[in-house]
Amino acid sequence: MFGYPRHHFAEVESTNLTARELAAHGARHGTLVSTDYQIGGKGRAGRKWHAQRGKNLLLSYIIEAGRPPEQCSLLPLLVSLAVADMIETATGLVAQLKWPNDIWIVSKKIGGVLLETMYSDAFRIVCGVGLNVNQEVFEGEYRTPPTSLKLQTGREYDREYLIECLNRCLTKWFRAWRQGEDRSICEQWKKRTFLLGKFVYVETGDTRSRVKVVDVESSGALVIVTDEGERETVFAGDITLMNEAG
Amino acid sequence: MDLQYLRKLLKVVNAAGIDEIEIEEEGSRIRITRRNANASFAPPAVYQTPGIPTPVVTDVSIASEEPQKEKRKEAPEKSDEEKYHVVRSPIVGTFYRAPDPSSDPYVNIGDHVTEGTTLCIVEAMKLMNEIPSDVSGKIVDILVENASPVEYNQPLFYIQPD
Repeated sequence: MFGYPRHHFAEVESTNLTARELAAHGARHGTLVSTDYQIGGKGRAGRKWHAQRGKNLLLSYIIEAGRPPEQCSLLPLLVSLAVADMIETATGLVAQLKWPNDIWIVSKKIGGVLLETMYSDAFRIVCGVGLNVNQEVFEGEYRTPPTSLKLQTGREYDREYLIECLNRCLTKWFRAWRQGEDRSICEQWKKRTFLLGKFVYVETGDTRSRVKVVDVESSGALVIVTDEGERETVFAGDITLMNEAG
Repeated sequence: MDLQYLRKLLKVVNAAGIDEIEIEEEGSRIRITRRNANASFAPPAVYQTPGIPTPVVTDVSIASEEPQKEKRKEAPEKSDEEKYHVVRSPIVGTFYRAPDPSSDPYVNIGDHVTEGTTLCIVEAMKLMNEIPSDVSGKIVDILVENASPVEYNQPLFYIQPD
């Protein structure tokens, strides 16, 4: 079961860092680290995740995958799917997914996940989740405009209820993944993404190419067709929508 | 010339079994040579130098768009893969030498590592895979530039075991 035991902190550097320390000391599968405020919250490539104190979900789970590292590439998609399910269950809002791990509502980003593997006495994964809940003001510049559950509905949400709900959604999808149901998880993810059939930019390293998204493999990899008509598989990189590109 | 162009070029060269090809366009010159023309498994080597004549190439990673500067400092010989312990990428993804852009690299050339020391991250689908060393020894070479794409089984590090 995800979410038990749970360690809550008023303030941490980042929940992923704290979860890694706990995992290194033997914390078990499903352990949840949550906080009201992250001093150094980070997203992909070290990008800062700005979140006001006490307003949002900032948490990390410790996962013992039970499958070899090379089979874990679907997990970021699985976790974002669980977050989208939780949002719909708890609020009625329809959340959409952007490859590989962003959660959007109505063309705005509301959350994301960041997973890190670690090897101490055993192979484990630390899974960080950030979701804007009751925050109404976002300072700074964003490539994708941010939103929150409160901005979408006008309601204040009980973060504890959302966490309980997320624990259940994650437990359900992770159990399916442990049983090898990668394909059906991927199909559910595809139902929630807005990318299929869209022209996007793929950024890898210093290169940026315009491509059309055509599919997602059960490994989690994105299948695209280039302007030259070549079908390729993308495992890493950033996807930028045509109207997002600067 | 961008990386995608180079990759396509490599595919064509591999498929055609060409041992050596040189292309010049828009001030850039690229030469692709097989390390061992008689060995069908040998990957082609790529070297790209805009605007200046291309030197003979012996051993450069396929996945990197730029010459491997750190690698050239120690000028490894042909038999490096046999001489040293090779740490390879277990997955396709993006190679990162540090946990984030503001941090120091996990390891540098000349560092001594032990079994389990994190050498780098290979990121795929936003899963940051730490790659641990499977031997104790000295880092002799780092074969990939930071933030470059890497292929499955691509050599990442040469380590001189203790």
